[in-house]
Amino acid sequence: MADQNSSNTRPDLDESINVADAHASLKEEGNAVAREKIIRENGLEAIPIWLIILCGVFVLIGGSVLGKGGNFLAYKELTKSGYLRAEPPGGGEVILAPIPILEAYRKEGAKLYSKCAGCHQSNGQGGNGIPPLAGSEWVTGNTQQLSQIIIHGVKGPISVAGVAYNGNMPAMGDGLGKKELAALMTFIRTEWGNQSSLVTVEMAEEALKIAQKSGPGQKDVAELKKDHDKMLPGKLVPDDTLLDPETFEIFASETK
Amino acid sequence: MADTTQSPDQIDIELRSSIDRSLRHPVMFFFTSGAVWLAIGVLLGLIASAKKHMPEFLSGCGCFEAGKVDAAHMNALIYGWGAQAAFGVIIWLMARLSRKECRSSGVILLGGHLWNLGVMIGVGLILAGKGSGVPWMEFPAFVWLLLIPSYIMILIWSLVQFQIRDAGHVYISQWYLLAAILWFPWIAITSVLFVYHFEGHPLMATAIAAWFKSALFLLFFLPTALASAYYLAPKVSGRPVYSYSLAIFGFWALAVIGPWAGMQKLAGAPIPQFLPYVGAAAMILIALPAVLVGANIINTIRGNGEAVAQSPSLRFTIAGVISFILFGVLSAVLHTASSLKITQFSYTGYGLDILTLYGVFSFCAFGAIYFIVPRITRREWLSRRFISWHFFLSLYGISAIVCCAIVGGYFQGEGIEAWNQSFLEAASRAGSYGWGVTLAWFFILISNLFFCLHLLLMWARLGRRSSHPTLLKASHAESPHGPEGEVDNYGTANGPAETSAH
Repeated sequence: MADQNSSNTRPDLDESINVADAHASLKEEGNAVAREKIIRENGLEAIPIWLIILCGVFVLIGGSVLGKGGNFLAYKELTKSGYLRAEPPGGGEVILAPIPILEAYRKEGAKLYSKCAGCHQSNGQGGNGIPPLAGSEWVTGNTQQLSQIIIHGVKGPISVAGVAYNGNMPAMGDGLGKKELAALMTFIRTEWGNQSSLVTVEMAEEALKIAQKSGPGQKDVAELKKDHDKMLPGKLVPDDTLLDPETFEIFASETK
Repeated sequence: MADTTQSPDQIDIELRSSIDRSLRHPVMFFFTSGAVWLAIGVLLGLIASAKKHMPEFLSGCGCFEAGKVDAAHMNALIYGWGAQAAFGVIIWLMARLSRKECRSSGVILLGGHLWNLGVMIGVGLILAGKGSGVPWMEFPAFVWLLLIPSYIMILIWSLVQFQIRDAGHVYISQWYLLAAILWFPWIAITSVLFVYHFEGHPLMATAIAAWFKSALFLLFFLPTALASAYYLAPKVSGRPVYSYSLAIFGFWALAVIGPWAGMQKLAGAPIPQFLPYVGAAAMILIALPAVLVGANIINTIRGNGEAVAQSPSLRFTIAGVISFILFGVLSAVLHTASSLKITQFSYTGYGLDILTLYGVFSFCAFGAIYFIVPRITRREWLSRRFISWHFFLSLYGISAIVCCAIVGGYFQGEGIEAWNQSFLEAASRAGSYGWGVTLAWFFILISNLFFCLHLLLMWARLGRRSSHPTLLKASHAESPHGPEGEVDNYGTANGPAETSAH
């Protein structure tokens, strides 16, 4: 009866069918309800032995984990010894993965630059009488005069990228250590299309010494040209030298 | 065991149809609005998953930031779909098993609307950035003042029906239903009070929130799913449940073990040291109820492969039960002391969450919906193809999510453990698996669009008027259902020898 049915094309309103009769049974009681079976709950099979053994295995695994947890209901024991990360092979402190020097400096510098972006804008273009940093020869040129401008500020007429400005930049040296100064100078010298060399922490340390020697007060262009128109002393390192991202210390060559 | 089924007599049929009729509005409301929330939740899941490996995806819109959309996804899935599907299943099953008509469908319907309102406000506020940030409880605290009363309005009547039932045996499904009804307020009220209202130590609130997350599944969604499976497997296959003692054992295993799980998420945190280990041990022991219940139900339908292949309800239910066994075994493997620290902060937890919510609960709920809706609408499902697309796309989707998240999460966790690697490198190990998860959500989205459309058509009373169920395969000579057809051969299907399995 089913075989013939599978090739049928839904003959539900065939002429031979009395539709009223056929639907009569559909009206009152639900059909799905009518064809339901009654549940009888009398399965009394024994629990299979393999199931009991399997449960035993899980209980053993669970028990072993519970056993590692120390004393049950001991509310004073807080940290499990040995859970924390193991020491690196060879002992010593855990060190962070090294990253290239240029990347580390630029990352730190970008954070510090937010202070400068108020005037020089985040795109380094300046505006409203503020000179740009992008393409500025004062930024990309000699590092010593750049470092002194940042630390002491600058006043009076100044020509930047062929445009004359007469501004007044306050001293920004407060809170800048050698690490921060190196990062900030590296960032502005390599951002917005500037492609100058990076400034190492050692160079920045020199810059701080020079600044201390020349005393406080904003610089003007004449003084910068006279005393500071040179690179900061210090050894230049390749951009991909690896260093510790926390301390900015350069890794010894064998750990590279 | 001899065949214990018999042709239902007329009084029985009338009682069943009057129960179905009394519940048709609230149950259809919960199923349809649940299905719509499911589609929304899955769509949000697709976006959330895509943002894990393409952070710039939809970044133009503030409400689709990763943290917001992830939380909205889980909450829409849990409270929009999961809870409402569970309500529909619980009120219908309890009424049927207690053999009592529902006399308060109006109050239930009102409660259902309030619940929906709560979920809508909650999900909206999460997307607006006002979420609380507590996992699975991201709704702002005040939303619970709406959810808990509406929960009581919806489910108190099932307790009443159980109380006034005619004396007699309490069926296995009823144990699970009662447990689910009573456990949800316990875990929800405890967690809301400890997390939002009591001035405790913040670490304690974190631990309670972790407990809530696993208790919500193990003590609410899981019992509901198992109640439906214990009902449908014997009902559709026509055989008694394999072993009553196994059922008792499985139920109490869950009731005793379930409440201990959850705090394994905080292993290594400065909470009393034994708590995470108790949680991990409980998660391992969840394998017990999984294999016990799984063996019981699968033995019940054993030898009845034809019914599983043909009946949409049984097929979805069995897929849900198999997912439960898989969950039990995976949970036992992934929570041993050595793998705990690898899986703790990785994708793996998400994979297990989705396996529980979609693989176990939703599959069983789909099975129940395919069984219940033809009874309360008195129409048959329209399209066999829609059902089988829903089944297969969902099955492929959930399998892909579980594989990608658990395998990817394992590699990710290994990467996090390696002390000399950066975090980014560990995270990027899971990147390609993230693509897999996104693709899987896409499959699940398509499957649920079919489901939602199909259900809405049934809701609009556009189902087939027929005496024959919509089965997944053309019947053949061996079929216990009699020949498939339309109203013209109604007579033959009702014969005593051909009582339908569905």
